[in-house]
Amino acid sequence: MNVWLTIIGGTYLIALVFFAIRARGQNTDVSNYLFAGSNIGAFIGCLTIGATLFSTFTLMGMPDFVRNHGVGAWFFLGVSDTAMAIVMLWFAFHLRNKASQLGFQGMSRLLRQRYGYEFVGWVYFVAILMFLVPYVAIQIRGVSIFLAALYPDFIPVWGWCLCVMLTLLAYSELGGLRAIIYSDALQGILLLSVTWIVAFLCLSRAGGIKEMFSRLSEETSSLLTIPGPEGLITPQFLIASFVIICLLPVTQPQLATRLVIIKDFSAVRLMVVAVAVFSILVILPTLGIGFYGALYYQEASPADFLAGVLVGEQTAYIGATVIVGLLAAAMSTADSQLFALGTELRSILPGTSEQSLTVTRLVIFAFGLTTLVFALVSSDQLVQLARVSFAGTALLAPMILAAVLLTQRLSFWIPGATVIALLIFLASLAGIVPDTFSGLRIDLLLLCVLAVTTVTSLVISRQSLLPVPD
Amino acid sequence: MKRDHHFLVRLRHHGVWKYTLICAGLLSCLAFSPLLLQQNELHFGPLNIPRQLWLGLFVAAGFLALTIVAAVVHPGSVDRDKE
Repeated sequence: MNVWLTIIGGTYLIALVFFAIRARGQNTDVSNYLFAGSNIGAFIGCLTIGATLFSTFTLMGMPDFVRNHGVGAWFFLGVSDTAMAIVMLWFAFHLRNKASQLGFQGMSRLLRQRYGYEFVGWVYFVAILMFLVPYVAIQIRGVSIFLAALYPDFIPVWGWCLCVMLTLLAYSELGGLRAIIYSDALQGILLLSVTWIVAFLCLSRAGGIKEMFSRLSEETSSLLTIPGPEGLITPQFLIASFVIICLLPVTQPQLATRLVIIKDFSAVRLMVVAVAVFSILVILPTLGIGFYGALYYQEASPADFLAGVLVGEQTAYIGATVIVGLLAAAMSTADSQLFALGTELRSILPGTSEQSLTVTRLVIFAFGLTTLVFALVSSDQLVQLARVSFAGTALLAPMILAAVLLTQRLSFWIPGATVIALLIFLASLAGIVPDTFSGLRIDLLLLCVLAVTTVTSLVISRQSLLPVPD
Repeated sequence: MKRDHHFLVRLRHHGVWKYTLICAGLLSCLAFSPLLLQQNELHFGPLNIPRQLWLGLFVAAGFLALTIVAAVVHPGSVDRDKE
């Protein structure tokens, strides 16, 4: 195993160094560094979005989620992610349209331009900072715990966290967004290959699909219906998750930026179809791994299940590929989100582009260190924490959609209501406010209230700010 | 080839695109309706795969098909390229 891990891991690291150096050579100015020259094709666009979207939470979190909650996991992620591709196409068109009118330096600046208030950009930035840093942290923590469990006498959890963070910061700082996108493409291919190889082997050991489901129906039949053994996958949980996941291209800065920097709309058309196919292809095999776990690792802890099924049962070279694939999955999501945070902060800071680029680099480094601290203290519930992160950023959606879709003057009340909703959501996470209200989940309720507030405020204020396009 | 191009141009119309969005909305309603989510008894489809999972796979395939149609018929055109 160690020999194979050295060979595959070494090759992967060399590829990252190569991408960083190559991207550095192509980065002739600030725009190139931050937006990869805004010339990304459909294929690379699909892989970078896929790798950014699907992380350790797909390869580690989803099998464990399927093992505990059964078929509902497919509705939770598979159905929602495929539907998200349509939202991505619709939003990409309008965002690119707005970007061509106002220029695009980041969502924070776009919001500030559209609302005409400085604080709106900060509301967006602080919200994504609050919800993305913990999300990035759990990716790094998840893979570090896994690696520490595999090699208990080698490097402790904090050591793995530090290695992952330093590696991704090194190539992000060196090569900018272009290096991240190139490495995402490699990481996307690796993630897809690894999930299919492991799933195929799991199904073979379980005696095929038919045999696996026959045994599951005898042993744990509640996994084969919704809401699953623990009753988590209720219709309300699924509807709230569906809305939140469909809104990811709108609310997550790393996705919105990628939609703008695709070279033209024809490439966007191809890219969204490829993302929908990628989503199905990457989530489907996690069902096989999860159901296999339900048969053979029923009582095992998540770490033991994942260590066993992903590495322990595999041959040396497949196990090594899985480990590198997991590292790649964690890094591809973390690097994109940290870079997006840096870009967003730069877009609302004053100063010349060269000065602010230096600030951006320092800020990305600072965010990296903050994330590292979070990674050392956060919880191990990958999927649940990821969902909280998505739910928090989803509350920004009505404010962003109003700014991107409309041309009229936008009211102060929309960002004002968003701030109040974010505070209530945070209070519910802290246990100060109940997480349900009259049987309705607080995230879904807040989203509905924000949507109504936004529409009402738009109806009341109809004064035009921008010329209506022909 | 030219005829195909004209056919695409005719398809790329706001009306067609809106029908795609309406279909996606209807499929979303179906995906989370009691019809699919509230089945008390366990039934199996082909390959012994539970019926609810089959339905989920069909819904995802439906969204994929709609994404392809949406990508083809989206009117597009107003773009960053015109800068």
